[in-house]
Amino acid sequence: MAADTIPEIDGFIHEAARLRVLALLSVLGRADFMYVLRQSGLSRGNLSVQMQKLEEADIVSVTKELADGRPRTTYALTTNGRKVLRAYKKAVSEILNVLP
Amino acid sequence: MSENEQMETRLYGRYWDDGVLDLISGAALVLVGVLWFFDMAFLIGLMTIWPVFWFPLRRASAEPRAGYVEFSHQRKRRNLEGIIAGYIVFTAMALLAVGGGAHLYKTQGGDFVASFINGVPGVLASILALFATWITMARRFYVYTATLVISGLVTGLAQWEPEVPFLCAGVVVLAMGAMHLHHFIRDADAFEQAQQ
Repeated sequence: MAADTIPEIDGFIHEAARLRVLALLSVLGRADFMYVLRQSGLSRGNLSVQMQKLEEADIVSVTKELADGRPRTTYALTTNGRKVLRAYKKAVSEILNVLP
Repeated sequence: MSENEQMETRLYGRYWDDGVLDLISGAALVLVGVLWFFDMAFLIGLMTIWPVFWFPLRRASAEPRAGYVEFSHQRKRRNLEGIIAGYIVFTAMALLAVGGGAHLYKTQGGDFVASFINGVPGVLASILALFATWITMARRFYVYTATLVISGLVTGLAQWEPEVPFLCAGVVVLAMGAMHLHHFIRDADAFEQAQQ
């Protein structure tokens, strides 16, 4: 296989912690930090860093609101985030399919 | 079912592990039984709005530990359809039971109807429990449905009072709910300790 026929993997998405979070958010409408923390198995500090990076990359959107007088911050995949994930999945699938 | 749907289904199933819905449902069943016992069965219709108490209770008890989540639009639509279908089927079956009971009373006589009628309300309530199983996908709700059906049938055959299935099932549901809430809080505390 020539080098230019191997799809390029998005290294930003490929990072294990980020991938866990994105897989989780991809099947949900939206979720707050505590929910993602409980379900992803990441540490609080690690998750905080990853969410900030994902927000800066416009892959995850953040909504801040008041629920019963208490602040609530929720995360959801952006349209761009879904597009990036689909491209990542396609690239990884293509590579995995050629493995023996 | 795709991998995507399997993961969403697993997450959705875990959502009900806190036992709050069980506690609300168990309390509602016990209250129905008590109202029936004190001949206030006309108030039982109010139980149809009982599920609204689940939202604030879950928000106060489980959400700070489990976090807040909104599932997909498809899931919300499926749940709404389940709730509407549950109420429609329940109402239709209740009307059928009343109409059928009146017909049997005329054709077969009061003694025949009295030989099973006391078990009918419990069996009818199992329809709502079955739809709750379909909506929550929590297998323990099958147990609640079966408890209502069996206690309803036994009540009918033994000619016990109609409140018996509600009290029996209510106690079972409350106990299971309390057990789930206990496990949920214990796991949440362990998670918090592991995070520190």
